Amino acid sequence: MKKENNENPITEKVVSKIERGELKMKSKAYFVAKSFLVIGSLTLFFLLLLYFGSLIIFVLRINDILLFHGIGFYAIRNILLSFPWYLVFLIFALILLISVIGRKFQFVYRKPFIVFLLIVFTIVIASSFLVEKSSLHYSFFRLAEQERLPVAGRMYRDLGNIDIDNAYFGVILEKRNSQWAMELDSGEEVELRITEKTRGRRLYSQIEEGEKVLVIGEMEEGVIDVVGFRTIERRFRHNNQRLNER
Amino acid sequence: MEQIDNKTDEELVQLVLKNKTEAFDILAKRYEKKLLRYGRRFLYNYENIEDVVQNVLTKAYVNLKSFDSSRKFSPWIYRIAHNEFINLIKKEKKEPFLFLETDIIFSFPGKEDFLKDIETREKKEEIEKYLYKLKEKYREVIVLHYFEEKDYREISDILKIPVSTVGIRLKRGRSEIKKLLHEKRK
Repeated sequence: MKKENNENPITEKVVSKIERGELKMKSKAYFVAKSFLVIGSLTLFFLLLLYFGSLIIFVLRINDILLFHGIGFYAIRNILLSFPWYLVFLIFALILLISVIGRKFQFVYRKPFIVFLLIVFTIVIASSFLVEKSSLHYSFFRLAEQERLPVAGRMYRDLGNIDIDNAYFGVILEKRNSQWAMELDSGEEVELRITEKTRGRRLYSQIEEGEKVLVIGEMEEGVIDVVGFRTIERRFRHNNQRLNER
Repeated sequence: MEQIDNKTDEELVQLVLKNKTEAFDILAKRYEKKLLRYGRRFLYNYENIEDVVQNVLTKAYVNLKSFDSSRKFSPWIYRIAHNEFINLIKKEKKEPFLFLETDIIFSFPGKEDFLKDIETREKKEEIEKYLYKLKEKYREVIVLHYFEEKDYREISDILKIPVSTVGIRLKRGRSEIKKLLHEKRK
């Protein structure tokens, strides 16, 4: 058997391949294109994150979900059941994608993963509020309602009209002991029944006829058994300039 | 004229990029033994380490134009080696491999200053005897730190993990070895 005298046999093999022209370096253009692809995907995913992040804020505002605070667990449960969770999952998937692709960069992998996630999350939330302040989603929503938004039209119509179970917006017409009359936003007139289950009953005396309210409770044959309620200044969509501008 | 042998790794890379193959010859010779040593310690129960190291040197040459000349060459080539070793582990499935370990997700430096804590009382030979008993993730940082003499930041660049995770893995690896040494002395 031939004894290997060379101290660096592996180097010899590789170098002889180079000399025979069997090994070629990849061009600089290849790596530049690869970097553009990585940076391009990161930019695209980040813009998508801002789009979906601001879309969630838009959904919360346009459906007056932010008005539901302080009226009990029953209301929160109904919101959770009706919420478009796929938007949240999409956001998490995008953040995960960004984190995985971003691990190529020193400023990402040198930090604990959780720190990077928190940084991205904070930037996304802050930027989403800024994007939501623009007319982007409101214009799309208006176009969708006019059936003039071809691709995302249905999505905007669905997201702009989330039906939260057993939640009713309207105006108090008349107060009569434990049974009040209320006109819903749809124009329908219903009765409100205050029972033992009604949360914060003593506050009811402060409500005046003509006040706008949000009522939570099951409705049967025109009577709502009130579980929770709160007065509201106005519904977001009724007086929103961005929804009414042309 | 300055001898080519005296040039730094990074200077040699620049020469290779100017089609001076002899510069790659020197560069590869500098790393061949180091990479074999790293591979044999990290992958103690695998064969064909030579083939893997040949792949490492081949890939280093093919991808040399992606090397950022503002950085050090050593972590760059060790990174290629790490990837090749991990591919071998995945291929032969002799050890479990996790993509994202909890110590990468939650790794915060404790009160101990890991960056200064590089002293060890255990002799290298003693550590080496117990290397094979460690989990792959602890074994690799111990090999890189104590045998390849890489600092925390270099190991962070090679493994692409947070610097604090390097500290945690070294600490855990060391205490595992201490435990094994203690058991042996009993």
